[in-house]
Amino acid sequence: MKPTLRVENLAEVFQAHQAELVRLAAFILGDRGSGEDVVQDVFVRMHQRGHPMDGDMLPYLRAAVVNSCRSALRRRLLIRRHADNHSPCPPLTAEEAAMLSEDRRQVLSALAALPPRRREVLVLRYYLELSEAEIAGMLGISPGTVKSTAARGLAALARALKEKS
Amino acid sequence: MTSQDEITRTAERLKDALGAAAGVMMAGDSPVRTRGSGTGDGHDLLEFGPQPARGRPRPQPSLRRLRPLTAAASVVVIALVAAGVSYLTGNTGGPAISPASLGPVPRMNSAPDPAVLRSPGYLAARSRVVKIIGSAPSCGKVIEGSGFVYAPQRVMTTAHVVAGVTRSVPPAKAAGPAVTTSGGETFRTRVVFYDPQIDIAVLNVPGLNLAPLRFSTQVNLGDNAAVAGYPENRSFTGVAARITQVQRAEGPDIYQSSQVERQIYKIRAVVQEGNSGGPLLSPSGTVDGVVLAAAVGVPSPTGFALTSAEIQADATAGATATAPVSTQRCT
Repeated sequence: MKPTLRVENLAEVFQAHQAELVRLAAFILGDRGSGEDVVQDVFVRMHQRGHPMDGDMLPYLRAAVVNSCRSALRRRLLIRRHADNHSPCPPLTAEEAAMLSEDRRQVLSALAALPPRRREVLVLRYYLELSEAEIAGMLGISPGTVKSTAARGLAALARALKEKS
Repeated sequence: MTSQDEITRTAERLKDALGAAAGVMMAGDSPVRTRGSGTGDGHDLLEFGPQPARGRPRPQPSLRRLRPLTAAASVVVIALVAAGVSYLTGNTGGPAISPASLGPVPRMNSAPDPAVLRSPGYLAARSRVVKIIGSAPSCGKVIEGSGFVYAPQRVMTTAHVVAGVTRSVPPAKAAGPAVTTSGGETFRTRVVFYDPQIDIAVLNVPGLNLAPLRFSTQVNLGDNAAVAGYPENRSFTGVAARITQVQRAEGPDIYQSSQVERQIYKIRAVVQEGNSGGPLLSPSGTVDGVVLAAAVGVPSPTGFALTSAEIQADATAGATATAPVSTQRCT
């Protein structure tokens, strides 16, 4: 359903997709500031490399953002970040979280508590609404692995939500 | 144990929560700038510029310029504040929209002045505000809202008040919602214009002989106004309001199928279910905007109205339309 844009200008690409990419990164990382950094870095790298801008850039951009999120998560294991997110509902700020229903907040907190790989697959599947095959292609894993990871992720989410309610 | 049903339900809840969260997260965090403020008399003059391309997803918010009354313009950095919004028909839990607010304007925030409810202009305008009730059999809903006469035999309301509606209530052989005046007279209608993006619909009401309300051409921040309509299935009810901000709000269309930007007023007023589609009336009885939603989870009662500038194109298109159009599906 999302429009695919064929544009040749990096600034236009940035304008068109930045918001979605920041949200994607924020959901995977569980915090908005890091999500913005990741997306910024992706665009800066593209700019420096003079990446050829032909065709639909969106799949490439999404994959680049997901990859950068992984690097960021790895770094995070080495450098214990100080708690930069006081929201009970990552990656939203407390004000934003207050605007969501309790039910939705619980779902988002449970998502943020999942292991990164499961969270990543669930975000790609249920935020970007990519197919299992598309996710497999993006992450370089088999469709079967996508399916089982998503299923385990959802089961873990369901359990976590049941405990809360 | 976790059943398959539960997994499916969890997937739906996750999709819903991610969509809603994306809705309250503002596009990028680069501050949007505009000019405004600093007029010294407590009022900013809003000038209606040319209509931008409407109804299409616009990734970068661009704010219509706010010009101060005096030359002493200062740059205001717009705080990207998100607010949840609940849609105001009787039975729909509509989409959340996330306004990019103009930041705090404390002097604009004083309580609404009930004197507006005694102004002659407002009193004369009341009779042109109507109640709308329709039935949407495809989803088993009866939807109530408000509307107002804005052209001969044409009533404007919000699209989500008539979404999916194909029958009147009470049952009559009508294929559109019923319109009831403050005097209790009921009319058959047909929806002749339907814009689910901006969230506006226009009803053709043959036989309705009420003089149209006019749209305001100038609105000052801080102005008194009144929210007029039929909240909570009551008879005509007007409450005092104050226009506190004008914002470009990014949010989903009524079907949540794309992101839309709308120019809206943030108002301080008690806005309830059923107010949706009713006019925000100025003390002189002109239409400042169309009541769209109420904020949820905020300390003081807050509502939102589409600005009259935002709905001009729809108003023009609907004023001459005569052919019934589809109200698509329920929200």
